[in-house]
Amino acid sequence: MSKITLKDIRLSEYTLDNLGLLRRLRENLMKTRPEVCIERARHTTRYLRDLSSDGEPMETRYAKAVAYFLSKKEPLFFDDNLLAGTTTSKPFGAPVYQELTGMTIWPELDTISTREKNPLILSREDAEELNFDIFPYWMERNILEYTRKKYNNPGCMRLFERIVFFLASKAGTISHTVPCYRKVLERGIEGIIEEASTREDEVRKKGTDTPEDRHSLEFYQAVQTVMKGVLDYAANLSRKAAELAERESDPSRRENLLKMSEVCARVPAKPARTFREAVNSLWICQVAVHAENINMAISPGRLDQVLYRYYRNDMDNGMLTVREAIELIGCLWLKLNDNTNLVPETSEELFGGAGTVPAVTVGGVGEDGEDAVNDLTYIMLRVTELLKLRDPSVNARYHYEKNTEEYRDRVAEVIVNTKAVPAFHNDVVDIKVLENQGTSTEHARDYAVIGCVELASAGRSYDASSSIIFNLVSALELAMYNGKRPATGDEQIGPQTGDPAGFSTFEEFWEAFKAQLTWLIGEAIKLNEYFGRVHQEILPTPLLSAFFEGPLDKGRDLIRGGAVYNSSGATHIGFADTVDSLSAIEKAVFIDRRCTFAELLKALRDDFRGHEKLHAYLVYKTPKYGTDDPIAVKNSQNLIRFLYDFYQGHTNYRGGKYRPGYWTMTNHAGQGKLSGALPNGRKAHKVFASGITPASQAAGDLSACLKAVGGLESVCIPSGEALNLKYPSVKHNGDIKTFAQAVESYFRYGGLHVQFNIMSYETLIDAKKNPEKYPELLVRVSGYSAYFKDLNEAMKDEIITRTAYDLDTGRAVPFPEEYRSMLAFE
Amino acid sequence: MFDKILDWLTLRPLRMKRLRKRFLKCLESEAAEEFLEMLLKFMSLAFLLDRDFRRNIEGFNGRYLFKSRDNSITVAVIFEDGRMKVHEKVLEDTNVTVVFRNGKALMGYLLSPKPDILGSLLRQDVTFNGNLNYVYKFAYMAKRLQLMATGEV
Amino acid sequence: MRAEGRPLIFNLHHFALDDGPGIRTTVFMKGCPLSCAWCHNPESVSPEPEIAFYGHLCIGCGSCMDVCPEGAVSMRPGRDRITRERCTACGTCSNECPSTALRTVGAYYQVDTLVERLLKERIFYDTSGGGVTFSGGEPAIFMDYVGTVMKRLKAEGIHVAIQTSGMFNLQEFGRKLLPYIDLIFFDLKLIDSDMHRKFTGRGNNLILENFRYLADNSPVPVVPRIPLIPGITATGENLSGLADFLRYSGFTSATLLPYNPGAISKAAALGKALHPTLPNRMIPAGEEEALTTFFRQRLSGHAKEAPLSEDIGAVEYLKQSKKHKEVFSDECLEHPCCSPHPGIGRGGLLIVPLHACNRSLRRDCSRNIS
Ligand code: SF4
Ligand code: SF4
Repeated sequence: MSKITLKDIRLSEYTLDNLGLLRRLRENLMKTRPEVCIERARHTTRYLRDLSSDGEPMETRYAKAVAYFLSKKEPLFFDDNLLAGTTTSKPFGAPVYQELTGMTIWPELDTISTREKNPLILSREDAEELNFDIFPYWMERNILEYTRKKYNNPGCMRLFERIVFFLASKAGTISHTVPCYRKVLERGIEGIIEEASTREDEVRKKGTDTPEDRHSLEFYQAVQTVMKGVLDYAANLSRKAAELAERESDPSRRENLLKMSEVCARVPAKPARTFREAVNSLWICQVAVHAENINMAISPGRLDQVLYRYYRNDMDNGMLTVREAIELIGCLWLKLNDNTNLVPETSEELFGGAGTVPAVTVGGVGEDGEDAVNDLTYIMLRVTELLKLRDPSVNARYHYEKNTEEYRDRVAEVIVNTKAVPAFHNDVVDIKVLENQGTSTEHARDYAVIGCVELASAGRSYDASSSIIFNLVSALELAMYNGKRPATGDEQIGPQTGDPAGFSTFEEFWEAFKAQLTWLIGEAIKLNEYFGRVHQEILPTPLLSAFFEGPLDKGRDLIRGGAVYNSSGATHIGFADTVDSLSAIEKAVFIDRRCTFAELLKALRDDFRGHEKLHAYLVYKTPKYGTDDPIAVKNSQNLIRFLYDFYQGHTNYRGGKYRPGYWTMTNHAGQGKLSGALPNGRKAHKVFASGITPASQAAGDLSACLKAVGGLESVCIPSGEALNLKYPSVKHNGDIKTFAQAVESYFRYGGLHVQFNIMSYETLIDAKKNPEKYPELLVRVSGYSAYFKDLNEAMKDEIITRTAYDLDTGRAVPFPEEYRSMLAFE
Repeated sequence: MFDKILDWLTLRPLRMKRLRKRFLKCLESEAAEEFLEMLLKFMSLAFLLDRDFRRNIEGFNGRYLFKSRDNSITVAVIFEDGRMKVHEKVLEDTNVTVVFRNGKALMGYLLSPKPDILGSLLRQDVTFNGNLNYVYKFAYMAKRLQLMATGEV
Repeated sequence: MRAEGRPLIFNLHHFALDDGPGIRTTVFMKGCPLSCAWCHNPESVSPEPEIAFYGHLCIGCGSCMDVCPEGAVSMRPGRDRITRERCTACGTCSNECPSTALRTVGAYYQVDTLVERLLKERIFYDTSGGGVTFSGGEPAIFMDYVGTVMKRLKAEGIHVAIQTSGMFNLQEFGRKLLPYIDLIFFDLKLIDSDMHRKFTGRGNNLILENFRYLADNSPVPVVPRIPLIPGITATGENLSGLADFLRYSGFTSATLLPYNPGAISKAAALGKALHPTLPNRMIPAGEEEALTTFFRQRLSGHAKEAPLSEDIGAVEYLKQSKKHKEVFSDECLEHPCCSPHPGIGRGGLLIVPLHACNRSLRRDCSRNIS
């Protein structure tokens, strides 16, 4: 039976003109400047430093610290949003996670409010509190320094600090996960507390006292403690809303406050009964998770599924209208934008512009394998289309055998109208990929997107999908320069795999490259394991664990492997440039013999100055990934396969496997800036191609590009891929159809994910030159959305130069002559 | 004894004034070779004279070693008992060692309003070995000092 | 006409949307019995390989001059790189050229290779209701080759279309190609045979005969297409004549192909020039609309006279016939209910006669997506 009862799935009668609340809230959000919020840092520090001792077991002590903060957290109502709860104490706040990377803003405390790139307002008093009171306590205690000391400043850490080889995200975040809010909606926090308490009794009754039992006991206690903190926060919200209502003279505001007070008196403590209760309960849980975990890609998951029963029930009982549902979802979307990351200026330059990427997933099939698209799916699409916000990052699942063409085309239309969102995910292949990782079929079908593009069985799989961000080009350079890199000078970094000038076959070079990869990834994994163990020791996550399937059954915190499924993700930067460079070496040195390896290296060192002929040949006449050239196809597939096998051979500290993926956020721009010239003709310090996307201007033919990317062995890409496509415009009905058909074809070839920017070179160039003209220009970066103006210059260049395909001809649009110097190979 | 105190009282502000001028001049100069020396001198004096600024090192123990890449400069800075001590010698057992290409590079890292992060990374202008939080704290103090010198705080 | 030897393909255009329904691959055969003065694909005329030179890509390295065995390369700036009379199109220079400024146009594909290559695109065809279109040049001059490929595609269930100039041997066409074709795009250019000879090198008798025959007997749809060439085919006289001919042949629709000046630079790359009177710009939108409106009316028997652009001011004329224009809106064209041959696609402008689209149908199909 079709779940669609909407007469018009496009919901075109609802617009911002007749949704006044959403329009006002949106306008406000766009005007609000971000501020640093120290509330969490203040309370957690106070608890850990002054109200507890180092002798206590960390699991319960940390739970108490988080609960302490939640109970002290100020209940605030900044605007007329229908949902109660705020991530921070500011209307638009950047919380400080001092135990992670929060302290990197220390040098900037006096200047962060006025810095040029993405300033964050910080009051003098708050800055002083951080400087004198909070940060000093953490100097030896944040994750990075604790790990350094524990493992005696290991080599892998020194490599990480050079930035140009790999990044180990655990120093700043684990987050990147999809909690199971369904559980709270159905049973309430009280239900979870009850379960933990029963389990605690069971362990006690067992009477055994193994270390594992001791951990279980602590864990169950911790869950109860921290859940009570959530209840305190909700109770405070309820009380405060009632207080404000009393003083409020505007009748509609008053009514809204009273309603919120009523809702928070009920949820999340108890099961949700109505749609509004469900949405608010979920939002309070999302806020609560951030009391413990950094605001990075905590993804609410399949909201059209999780919230559907409440929607259906209310609709059937005549308690809810479509307009009200749109308003509530709109309010949730806006709430998800109420916080941002605390990013030091250094990182802005390298990686800036990202949102907090709470990914929402809609559509696809249900656990039964049948079409799961429902009214809420379309409501969420409409809200996304109307609000055009950076967050949440909306992902549309499409199952080409089960979902309707109507749904597919509607998603395409929303992309065309927002020019950027949602991203499209291939259900058929995604499910296979997860099954191949050992996820049961039902669980695989219930996947949601984490952060950018990574997949997780929602609320069951703890994937730490951004654990390692690995720069493939650095390994390539190590192979080309016998274990050194131009960026790090004369220092012998990697193993000596031989001077390639002496290699007589391409295979010798390939072996050297693999040897460097093996060594360098080994170091990255080693460091990730160190960090993981330190997280287990000093940063447990009882709160997040309570919102997961698995930990309560196993009596084990998520960080110790409590989830049903576990893995660690490694994503890779510079895929296309690396593959193209391998192919260029193979073709130029070993097949065409246009140059010797030594000559090639000389040209690279000279950044091709004085080697114009060789440069042109490398750019135009060597095989490119994204075409059907067999050499390019072979090298891309070999690399994907090699990395897959290598990672899967490693088990992490939670007992899960490592999974490779190919999405790059903004890292490909920053890392590109730090790398020398490459054999594919890319010049020194130019950006790399993003995600799994072919290098800019290298794949001139849309169909070949889709076939090449789709043709990669998708089971070898379990941590997701980001294909970033650009069309200058998509015009009328027929084009949207073609647009959608191209996506479906790509999926049928095997592609996992694709996202779009519907923008011309000219528009983007103009937006870079005149940012004030485009204050709200939303772009897809490589897995998430950003406002173009917030991105760093390198990242802007990368988005500008991405190949734009003319949907009428399937051919790349020529890049404007007068801006050619922006191209990576110019 | 009394005379001595009086000396200090009168000379210190004067020295401070002079130092401030030299410090600002150093910040503007091309090579900024004396940057570290000026910074440390100015900083020590500021700790003595400015009670608010001194709060930064109350109860703070930190051992820093600053080294130029070519080994021409080696300076140890020790904070303990609410005081700052500077020695021109190698220090073992530091919290952090800061190796810098030259005065300009170190200044760029610590102070310049819009640091050229990429360039500085590329050139390996400044590298660290040890606890980065000590670097952050030191950078905060240096930045504050700069703002004090330019009269912005 | 070239004896069937090694038929060359000068372009495999994947993701083609303008050559039939859905997403298609268009196979452009090299070689044509006509040599139209305006030819949109100048590289398609000669059946022999040719060397194209794209000056803007040249980095001036001089390698081409070094390697040419015929001494046919000279480096005079602003001029054609190749002395065409001497060049044997051996391809040595294009192979050596690092920047792809020199390229060999025309490649031979073995039947197996071509079929395999086309089948790789199959998912695009299946997803969109697309297929393969043979174009050129004139695909029908390589009956054996094209027929074999078509037959293999047909066996795979792939939709096959052809774009033809109509200059072929009908018997052979009927035997070797027609059984495997699902859709025929038939080009009609000039109704007057002398004019036809003047601008295409051949008279049009055979073409019109073949057209009439297929119009009456073809088991698959035949879509007449008329290129609008300013001053040559896009004249009142010619369009009236063609419309009358079509109406007489029982046609109520035809496709008008807009003029594309891009061919001028394409020809230049091959060291050729098109007819000197051809303008280097598109036909202005208003004028084109007036032409199509007139043509449509003439086709449906409504307009007896030939009130046309230069002579009486087409735009004025258009203003007087607003009510017809309504039916002729853009979105309307996309909807199959308006199309006499469902799925003909969006090639050029599809002319819908008044009686074929009544108001109620039109309301049905007004699903315009904003
Ligand atoms: S194709 Fe052969 S003959 Fe013609 S210019 Fe090139 S090298 Fe010379
Ligand atoms: S070989 Fe190519 S790039 Fe070099 S001069 Fe000849 S045409 Fe120009």
